[in-house]
Amino acid sequence: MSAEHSVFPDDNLPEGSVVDGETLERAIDETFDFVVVGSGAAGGTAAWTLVQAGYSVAIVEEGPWVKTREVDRRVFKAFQRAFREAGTQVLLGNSIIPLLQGRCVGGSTLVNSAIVWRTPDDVFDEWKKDWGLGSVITEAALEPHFAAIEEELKVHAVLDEALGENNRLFVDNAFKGGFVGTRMRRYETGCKGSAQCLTGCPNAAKQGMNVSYIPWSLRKGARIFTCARVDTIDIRGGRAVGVTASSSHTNPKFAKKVPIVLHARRGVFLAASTIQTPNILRRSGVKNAHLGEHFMAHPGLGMPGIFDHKVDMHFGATQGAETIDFRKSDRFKLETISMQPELAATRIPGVGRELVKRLTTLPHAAIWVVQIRAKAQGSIRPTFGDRDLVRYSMAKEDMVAARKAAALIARLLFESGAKEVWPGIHGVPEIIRSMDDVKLIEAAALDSKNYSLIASHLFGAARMAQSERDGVVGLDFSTHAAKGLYVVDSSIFPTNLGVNPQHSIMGLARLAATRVAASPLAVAAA
Amino acid sequence: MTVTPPPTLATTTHGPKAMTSIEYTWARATLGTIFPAAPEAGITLGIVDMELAVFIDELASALPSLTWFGLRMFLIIIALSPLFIVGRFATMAGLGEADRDRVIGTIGHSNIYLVRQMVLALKATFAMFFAGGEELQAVCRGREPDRSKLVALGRKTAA
Repeated sequence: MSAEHSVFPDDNLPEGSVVDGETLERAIDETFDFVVVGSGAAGGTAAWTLVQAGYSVAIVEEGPWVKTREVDRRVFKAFQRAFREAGTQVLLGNSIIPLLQGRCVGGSTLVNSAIVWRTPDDVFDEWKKDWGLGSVITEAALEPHFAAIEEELKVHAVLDEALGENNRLFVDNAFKGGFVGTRMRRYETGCKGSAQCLTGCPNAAKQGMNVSYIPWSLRKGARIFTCARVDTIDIRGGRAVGVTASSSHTNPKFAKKVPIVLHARRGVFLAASTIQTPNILRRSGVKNAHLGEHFMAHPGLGMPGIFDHKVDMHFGATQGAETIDFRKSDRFKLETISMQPELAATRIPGVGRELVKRLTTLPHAAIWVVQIRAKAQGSIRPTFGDRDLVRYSMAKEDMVAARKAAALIARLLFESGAKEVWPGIHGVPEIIRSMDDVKLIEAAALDSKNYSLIASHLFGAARMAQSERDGVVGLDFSTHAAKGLYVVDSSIFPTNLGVNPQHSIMGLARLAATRVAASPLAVAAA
Repeated sequence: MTVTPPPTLATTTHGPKAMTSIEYTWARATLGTIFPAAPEAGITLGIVDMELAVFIDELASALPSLTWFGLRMFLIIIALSPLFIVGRFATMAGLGEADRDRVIGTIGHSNIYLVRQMVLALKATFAMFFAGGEELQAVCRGREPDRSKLVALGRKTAA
C-alpha cells in the first residue's frame, strides 16, 4: 500500500484534541488534572502513563506537529519546521559545537534514530554511590518500565531487509578492529530502510512519540497545545498549579502571541529538555545554585570512508550498527550513521569543484561516528531573544578519547576496504589513503577547535539530589522549590550515560509518572 | 546540454529581501565559488544557477536574527577580503575564478579558527540548498535526474 493510501497513527485524531497555536485566535483558559510541558521522550511517556491511570492531561509543545504525511525529504524544510532554531543552535566554549534539538511534537524522537539502550549497571552504581539516588533509581525499579516500553514500542534489532550496506560493513568488519559490532535495537515496526530518520520517518515505522504515545494519549482524552511556548510554571503557596504559555509560530518572527493558561489540579510535569527546562524553572522563580549548572553531553565526531563498491547510504537503517566495547575503557561508543548529501557535505573536504566532485562520490561512502561520554560540564543561561545560551568546552581527556576513536574508525574503515578516509581534523591531511596515514590522526593536536564535533544527548542542569544543597529536583521527582512540579527529562540526570539516552529518559519518566499517579498527594488534590 | 545564464539575482522578483543588492551579488560570487557546477562529474548547474536569492530570503526568515546576522557578516567579510589575500583592491565579485578559489581556499584553511569557521558555516548552511538539488540527489540515489523537478526548483535549463 502506498503512503498516500496508508492511514498513519497521527491521522484522524479526535476532534478538538489538537489546539494549534499557529492558528489560535482567542485566549485559552482550561483546567486539567496534570499539565505536561514537552512532548518528546519524557513528556510523551509521562502523558501516556498519566492518561492510562485515568487522569485528564494537557500537553504543551512549543513546536508544530509535523505529520507523517507532511514529512519532507529536503533537509532544510525539515530543519526549518522540526528543529530548534532551524538546526543552527551551538554550544559556545573553546570551540563552537553545533547542537541539534527537535522542536516539534515528539521532540527529538521525530528526528533521532530511535536507538534503545537500558541504563547501564555502572551508571546505577555511580548514581547510588556518588549521588544518593540508590533508594529510588535502581535497576529493579526501572526494569518493569523498560520492559513495558519495549513491548509497546516494538523494540527489536535491525532486520536484514532494513540493514543496508553502511551498517553491514560495520557489523561484518568490527572483528578486524578487535571488537564486536552489533545491530542496534530500535523502536520501530516495519522499517523500510528509507534512511530518513534524521528528517522524520515517512512511513511512521519509527515509533517516535509523534506516532505513538502522543496520538494514543489523545485518543484516550488528552489534549495537546502545539506551537505553544511556556512562559512560566505558575507556583502558588509553594505548589505548582498550572502553566502560562503563549501561542508561537514555527518562525518566531511571525509569532502572534495569544495567551494560553492551563490550570493543573494535581501537578505539572516538566519535560522540556535539558536545555529548556532550567530556563523555564528560572522564569518561574525557582532558585537553586545548581540550576543551569553541570550540563553534560555526548559530543560526536563522524568520519566518511570511500569504498570502490557502492554503499548507497540512502538505503538502510539510518543508524543500525554499534559497539560499546570501548565505553568503560575509553569512554566512547562507535556507531554508523547514514547522512543525506545535504548533511554529509559539511564533512566533505574542500570547496569548489573538488567539493562538488566529492559530493558525487557519496554513493560510495560509509560514515561511522563516535559519541564520547565526555567529562566536561557546561552551563545554561537565558539570553536575549528568549533564547538559551549554552557554554561548554571539551575537557582534555574528552579530546584524548575523541582522537583515539577517530584513529580507530579510520583504521577500521581501511580494514573494511575503504580506499580513502576523510578525517575532518584540522592539521591532518583532508584525505588519507593508507593505514600508515592513520598515524597522522594519532598525532593530531588535542585542541577541540581542530575537530568537527557535534553535540547530541544532553544531560544535567537541573540534577536530582536528596537535598536542595546538592540538586534542583528531589528523589520524588518534584523540585525542592515547589511541590507538584515534577521534572522528568534528562536534565535531572546527575551524569551522562555513555549510551543513547532515550530509553533511560522514557524509563525514568514512566517510573515518575506511575509513582505520582498513585501518590496520596495527587489523589488528595482531587 | 546548454545552460542559459540565470537572471541577475539582485533583480529577481520575489518576496521580502533579506540583503541589499550588492550583498546578493557578493553572495553569488562567494557561494558560487564554494558550490560551482562540475560538469565532468555530472553536476551541470552550480548554486548560482538555482534560485539562490529565494533561498537566502527563506533562510533569513527562518533563522534567529543573530544567527542570520552572523551569516550575513561572514558573506560581507569574505566579499571584502581579497585585498588581504590576493592583494587586489576588489570584492569577490570583481575577481576571476582562480582568484576567487584562492580566496575561499585560503580562508577555509586558515590556522585561525574563527576565520576558517566562516567558510565552514557557509558550506554547512548552503549545502542544505545546493545538495538538495535534483541533480545531486539523483546522482546520490543512482537515478536519472527528473528534468521537470529542475524546472520546478527554478533552475534555468534547456536540453
